[in-house]
Amino acid sequence: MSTNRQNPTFTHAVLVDRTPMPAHIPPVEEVGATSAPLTSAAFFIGDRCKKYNEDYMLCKHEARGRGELDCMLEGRRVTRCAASVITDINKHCLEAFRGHWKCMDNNNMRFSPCRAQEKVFNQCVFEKLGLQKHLPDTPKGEVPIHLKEKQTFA
Amino acid sequence: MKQFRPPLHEPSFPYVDPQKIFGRPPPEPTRPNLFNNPIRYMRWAAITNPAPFWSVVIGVSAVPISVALLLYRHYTGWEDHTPVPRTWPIPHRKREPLNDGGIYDDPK
Repeated sequence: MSTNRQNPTFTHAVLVDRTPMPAHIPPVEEVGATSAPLTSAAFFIGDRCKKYNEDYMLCKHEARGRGELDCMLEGRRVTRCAASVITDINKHCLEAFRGHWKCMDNNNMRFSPCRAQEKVFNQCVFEKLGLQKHLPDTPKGEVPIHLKEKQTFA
Repeated sequence: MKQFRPPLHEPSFPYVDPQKIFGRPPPEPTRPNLFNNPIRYMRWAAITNPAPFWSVVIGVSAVPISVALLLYRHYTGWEDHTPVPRTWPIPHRKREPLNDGGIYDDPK
């Protein structure tokens, strides 16, 4: 039972950014996805944007504490790349994407209860966009967990 | 046939008074010192307190058994998994040019 008697209100339409970025910094549109779609699309974002993510991390590493200022261009590249993946998935695999991230949303962002939806989603994204989920450091001689046929004990 | 039953305050017939044989009361089993006579101490403990003794023996033997099992597992080809990263892993290389035509660069 909820103890909060306050009626739900949606404030996203009336929120105003009181500290906008300065004019000389080029604008970048936010990804605009909540945690469930982001987690669901994370492996495909990683597949397409690995180059940009690594470049950003290396830039911050080499900037030695000034990365937030010096690596803004690299950061905007990361944001744009992730947003492009979300846009493409929404364009080509909307139904499968929705099925997967809603399942994730209902299961506390865990992948294991949503393997059935994930299979459809991965197949669609691979066919339409050519992006593939890759689990790094799978133990030698083992099938990656998302490719196992029987998910009972997975 | 009526059974002969000695009165309670007298010892029964085959009773032998040890003091008459040894000239002193029979020696009680004393606890040997663990550090001076470990073997004798373990014999004494296994007879006198068997449950604690074997509990300690089984518990202590778990240490070499677990080490031996781990070594045996590695010997048969089992490998530890890669440690799970706790942050975004920074690659061990220098920065390279992206060579992507600037598709995600700022619009001009």
